[in-house]
Amino acid sequence: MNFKTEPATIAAFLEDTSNLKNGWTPGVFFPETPEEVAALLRDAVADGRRYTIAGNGTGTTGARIPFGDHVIAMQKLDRIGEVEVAGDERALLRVQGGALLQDVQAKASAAGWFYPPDPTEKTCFIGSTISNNSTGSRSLKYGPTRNHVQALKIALPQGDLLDIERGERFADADGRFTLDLPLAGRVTFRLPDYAMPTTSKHNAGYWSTPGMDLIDLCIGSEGTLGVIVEATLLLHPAPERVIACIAWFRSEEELLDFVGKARAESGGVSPRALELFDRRALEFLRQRYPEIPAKTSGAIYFEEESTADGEDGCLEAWLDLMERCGSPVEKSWAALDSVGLQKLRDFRHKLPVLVNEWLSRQSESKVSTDMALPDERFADLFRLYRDACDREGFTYIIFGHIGNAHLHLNILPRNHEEFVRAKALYRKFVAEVLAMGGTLSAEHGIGKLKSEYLVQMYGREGIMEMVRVKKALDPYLVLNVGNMIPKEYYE
Amino acid sequence: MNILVCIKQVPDMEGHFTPNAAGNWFDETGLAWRMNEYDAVAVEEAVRLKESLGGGARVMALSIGPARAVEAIRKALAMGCDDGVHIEDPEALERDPWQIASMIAGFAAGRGFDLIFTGMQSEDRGSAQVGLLAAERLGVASVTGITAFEWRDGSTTVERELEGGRRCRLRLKSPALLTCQPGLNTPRYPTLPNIMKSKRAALTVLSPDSVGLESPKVSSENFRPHERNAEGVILEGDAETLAARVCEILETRTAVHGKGGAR
Repeated sequence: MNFKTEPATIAAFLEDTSNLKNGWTPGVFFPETPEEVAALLRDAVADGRRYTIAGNGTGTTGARIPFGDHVIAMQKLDRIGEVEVAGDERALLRVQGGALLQDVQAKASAAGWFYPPDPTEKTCFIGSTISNNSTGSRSLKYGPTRNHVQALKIALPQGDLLDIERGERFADADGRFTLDLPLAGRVTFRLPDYAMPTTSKHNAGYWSTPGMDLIDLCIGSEGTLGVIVEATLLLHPAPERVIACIAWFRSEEELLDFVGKARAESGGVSPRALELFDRRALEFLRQRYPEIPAKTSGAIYFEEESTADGEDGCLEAWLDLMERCGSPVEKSWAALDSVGLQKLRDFRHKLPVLVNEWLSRQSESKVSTDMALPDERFADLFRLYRDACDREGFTYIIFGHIGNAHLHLNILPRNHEEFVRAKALYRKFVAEVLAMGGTLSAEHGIGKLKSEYLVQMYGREGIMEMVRVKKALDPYLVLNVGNMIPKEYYE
Repeated sequence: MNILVCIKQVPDMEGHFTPNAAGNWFDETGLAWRMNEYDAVAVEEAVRLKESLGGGARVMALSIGPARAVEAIRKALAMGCDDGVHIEDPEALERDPWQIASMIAGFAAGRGFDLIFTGMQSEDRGSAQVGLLAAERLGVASVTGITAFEWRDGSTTVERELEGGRRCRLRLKSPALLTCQPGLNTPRYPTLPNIMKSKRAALTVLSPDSVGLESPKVSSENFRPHERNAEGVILEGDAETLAARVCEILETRTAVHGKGGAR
């Protein structure tokens, strides 16, 4: 196992895409086996070390940035097994935590299978996507990563390697788990009592539902309860056909009407993705894509899976729905093949790139949201963001997963005074979204950047319930301390 | 004005390629298929020209391939081509450039095309010969790898790249054949109504023999995956040990520092 301390080598581990500054570490370990990860944790107390686990730097919440802790880098645990067909239209793929999502998807695809989770960034580690219960545009149909994980091998904070197969360990009637571990001995804890939001995407705090599976506690726990060193993923048969299209709208009300009807599968459509670009987002994209139709109030990108026989009917249904909702169909951008699909996805991906380019010329950083409401309230969330930002006179864009009532608002402050006002507005949004039954984070997780807002979501009591779970598994606080749970709650 | 665009359906290059049973080309199992990207640029340029001329021009899309190749033709129609011709040839994938060019020339001869557009090369075979061979057989002027195109009063002006980043401008008279490369334009997204229209369009289907398929001049053999280089070695230890190990490796495994060489 390599251990690096040279500043040039470890500098990359002090950043991710969160812009969080001033991280530092005495050194970075590069374990090559699950046992090496477990051994580091086992000896942590004796060695006087605390560890931060490093994903591949694509995260947005500073979770991998250490503040004095040693770092465990996961990139050498990158093995990907062979696809094993399991019957019932399912296949399994065993992978190590540091395998890249894009390599996992390519492996599944080469064997004629399909791993649905599709966060925008494909160079993330698969273990990180599980720790973060990642979602993407296809979550509308397939749900979050949680739905696609069959088993995990986890290195626990006291050095045990625990195999968890879905369907084997459930919370008892009192919400309690009891584990007998070789090194840690008997570990027992109750799940947090807080109620979870009813959003279809939720990635804020420990998962907690009556009688739940232990594997679901680990998924989405942002590495605070253990390190995912291996996972067995559930694959689906690759869809025969996929159609994708961008529908433009002349008014926001027509666009919202279209989303409502598409979600309700009006006229027989069955979207696997429904993504929004608001008017302001399209203005950003127009710099690179001058062919975007003029006088557009917004656009919806949709995908649907189909078959060779069903494709015509599927296209007819969408065309009919677009026409009913006033979309100028003769301007639509559609794709039936892999190149076209990739071009449309690149269009989507270009948005954050252009926003970041713009930001690099400004003195202030952006204020962005990752909140979601219960699915049927997608229009409420859009109007909440739009109306408030218009009142404040901000430069902003709204885009993202409107099918799951999960929209990203990026406020782009032009000066410090605007930045301060935007932060204040963000706090108001958190309060309003929570009051409407929403979640603080649907996708990006909490990490270090948003832990203070998690307190707003669950209150001190809820956070202390998470601390209880954390301390049962990590009594000496050696792993990912400072992520998700604000540090002061351990005191 | 009569315009022909020649397109090829190729596998998605992200796919997993393995040799076929004969070992002379790749196995098609499990591959997804789409229009060759260079050809999409050719289709776009042809359709732009047609649109700039108003109602007086027609664009015909021609593809040679097995039954699945109709999807590439329909995509060309969805992008704005008017007519589709399919030379149905189950063995097209393994044919050499001469054979493909013989069929294109056999089809185009006598049909009065003013301009023929095609991609500079295919993404799978990459020979970049088909366009040139077809032009020679038809006896028309040709320019390969064009990066700019202009049509004015019956005369065509094109640009192509030369070595070292230089470009040259050429003017030629119709009929002519032009092979296109990315950078010439950005192929459009088909609209949903055009996709549906293209699915209903009737295509002309011809056999290879009816357009003069000839015998090959080149055969492919020994198709094999890229052989990976030996994996890297990480040396550990103090500077003296490392230096000794490096010398040992240079002496035993390379010709850089062999016995009798300068020390």
